[in-house]
Amino acid sequence: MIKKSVMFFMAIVLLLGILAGCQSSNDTNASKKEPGKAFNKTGYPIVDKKVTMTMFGPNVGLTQWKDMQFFKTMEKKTNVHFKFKTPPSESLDTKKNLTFASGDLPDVFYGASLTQEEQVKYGSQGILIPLEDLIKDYAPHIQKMLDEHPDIKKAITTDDGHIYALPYVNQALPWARGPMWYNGKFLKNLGVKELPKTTEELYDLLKRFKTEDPNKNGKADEIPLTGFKIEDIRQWFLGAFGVADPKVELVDGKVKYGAIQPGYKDYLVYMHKLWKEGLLDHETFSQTAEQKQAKGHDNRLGLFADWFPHFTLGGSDSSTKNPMMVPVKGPNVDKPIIPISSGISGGQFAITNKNDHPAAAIRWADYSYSKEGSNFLHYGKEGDFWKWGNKDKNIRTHVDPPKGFESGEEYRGTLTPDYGIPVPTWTRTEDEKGWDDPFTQFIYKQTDEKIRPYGQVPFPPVFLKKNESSEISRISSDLDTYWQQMEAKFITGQKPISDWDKYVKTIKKMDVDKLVDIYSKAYKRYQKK
Amino acid sequence: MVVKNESKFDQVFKVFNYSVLAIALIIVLYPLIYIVSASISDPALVNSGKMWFFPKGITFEGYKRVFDNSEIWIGYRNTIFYTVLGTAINLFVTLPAAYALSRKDFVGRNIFMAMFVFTMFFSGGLIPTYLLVKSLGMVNTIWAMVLPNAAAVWNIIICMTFFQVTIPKELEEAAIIDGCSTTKLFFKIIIPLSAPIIAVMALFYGVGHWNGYFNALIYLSDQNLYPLQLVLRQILVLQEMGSQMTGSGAAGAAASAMHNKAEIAAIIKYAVMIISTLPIIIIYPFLQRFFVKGVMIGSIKG
Repeated sequence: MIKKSVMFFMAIVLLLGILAGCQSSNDTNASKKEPGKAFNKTGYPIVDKKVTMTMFGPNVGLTQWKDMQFFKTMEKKTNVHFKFKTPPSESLDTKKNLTFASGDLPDVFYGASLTQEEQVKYGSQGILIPLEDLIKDYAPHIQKMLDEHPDIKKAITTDDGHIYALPYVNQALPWARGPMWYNGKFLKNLGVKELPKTTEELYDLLKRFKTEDPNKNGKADEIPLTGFKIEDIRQWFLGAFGVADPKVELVDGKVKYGAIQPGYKDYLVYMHKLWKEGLLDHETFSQTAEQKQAKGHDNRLGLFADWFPHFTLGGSDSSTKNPMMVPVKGPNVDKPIIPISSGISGGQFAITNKNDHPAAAIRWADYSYSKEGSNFLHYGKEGDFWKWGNKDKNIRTHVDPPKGFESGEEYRGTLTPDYGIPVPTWTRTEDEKGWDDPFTQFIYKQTDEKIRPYGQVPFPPVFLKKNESSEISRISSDLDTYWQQMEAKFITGQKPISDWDKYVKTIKKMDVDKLVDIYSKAYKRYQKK
Repeated sequence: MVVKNESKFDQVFKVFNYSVLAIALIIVLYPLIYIVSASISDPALVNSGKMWFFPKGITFEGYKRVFDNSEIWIGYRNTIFYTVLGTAINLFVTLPAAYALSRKDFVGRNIFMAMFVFTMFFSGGLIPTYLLVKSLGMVNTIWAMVLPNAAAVWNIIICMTFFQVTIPKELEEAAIIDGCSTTKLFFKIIIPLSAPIIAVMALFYGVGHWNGYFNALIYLSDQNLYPLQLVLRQILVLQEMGSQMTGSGAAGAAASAMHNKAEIAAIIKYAVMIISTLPIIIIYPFLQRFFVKGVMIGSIKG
């Protein structure tokens, strides 16, 4: 009897707890907060009397944000003082969810990569305040960027016309992931003058890598083609058959699902041929990045994906002897596609309804979108780790970092948050390119020749409505697992390509048409913005 | 039972027994030896699979870097502190609670027991717990590391059973007849008789604190308070990130720097593992004799 009543009591307590948790506050007037009297609409400091805000952002673990030169100098300049909440970058998502769910909000989110879903959800709840009016009134540099680049504006404006978060914009290197590189030594030893331009030529070259002992050790231990994961290789080979992305893609103005296109089938057939003849590394689906790297250090790789070639091959970090792969085209395609990044990463600066000084906050962020401000954010001041080589031509040269730092970059990571994470800024391509070292020039030259002419963003950054995004995540969770498994099975030959029709049928059964339909609608809304 | 002549079956059984045990030993021991070897080997050889048992290309670079890394030592210091203080608090809470619940003459014993057990199956969830800890002002303090979860119900039950089974009721009665108070009874008679269970509890809780990182991840934001496991996690995850960098975030030189950091992480990874598990490995043999005994006793309910 006692036991029962206790249980009942506990159940009631539990229920009350749940109900109490459901209460939500409806405080959406934050955006209407007037700037105080001490606020300056132009010029610096932003506020005459020091204001304090809390900032939430990921720390990559080199130094604490409060000790960074960038924040210290900005505080002197603007009179805005920040208290930092900086979880380690790898647990950012956990902490971010906790922050939103518990209501224990900061004044601003900085570099926290709020997803589009989060922007829509917390924006419509009033937790994040709309920024477009604040931008118009107080942020001339951001406004200028949005006016000059309508694609940026489209990418960050939600369907209800609000901007809830500012982006990181860096269009200097449009790589979506590390490109594919040839091993320069192999090419030299085989006397290859011209890099393959079609899938057939590439096949012949890979075959030569395999059989003609290009590393000259007398053993047939060469691996003609490898990647850390199939994604690394897929990006350059899928495009050869006219498919930009195995998931949803926009090709010739039409929304399609890549993994059921005829071009995708050609890709599978080709990759299976490479697999069967041992040209594609049989560990592609299973190896770790370190294992791939170890093969590269042993000079066994011919064609591989990595951010820079020396990451895999080892050796000098300024070697320009390993050329980037030329995009190849398949028999049924006029021009190959290389999927690229739009260079816009949204959700990097947002103001919450807790913030008492939204105008000051947006002005503080606005500075990083000016040329001077974005330079200061990224490069600090002259002498930190660089000096002007030719100021008129915007050319910098490296100087040695202080003792205790292995590279200028490592030192830079202690000066500014703009290191390893996307931050709210607008990086100018001419500044990124403006280094006098040959490797930087090599990278940009290769990119301009081999990626830009073929580059295409697989799908524009459309916003989804709440019911749409839950529908998409329902469909794609099964769908993605399925096509990825099947891709591996087709390539390795566990499933013959004659099963293709069955495969397409199964995908159709998994509501792929609905998914394409939702994205088509979202794309139409995107176009209208 | 004394067996003079082993039967054939016994012999076969013995051979079988030893071979199974030998295999088990190899399975358990090999990873340990591998990590020790890897920690003093050239990481390139480790990654390429050329180092598989004995160290190759011996280098102490990993250890050197660990000893130079102040974050790891701060983490180490914090972890020791959390483990010692946290375990002390755990024992201080668990033992009296378990003893009280073990006494049949404790009024409302069933109600309390039911409430304890209830929490084993139902909890408030992460966010309400976070809010509670925050309202108590413990977020970003050492207390968030030692006070939440101070009592583990499972451990209380183990202790309670131990008290019920191993300490004769007559002993308590005799003490009370001699004029001993309950408090005195607990400290002078029960505790001294409970060395095995105390050791086992200390080990359970201690290892938990030593390995714990989730509470730190949720409640702490000051890097100077991070325990070793969180620092470790950061090092290892950075290595992962560096090696599969994607997206527009990392441009040019930053990519190189991340890559270098990943390579350093590969060097120190195994050294850090050794250094962080060594204390537990050293303490374990001393507690082991209690450990086997304590768990056995706790598990048989009389």
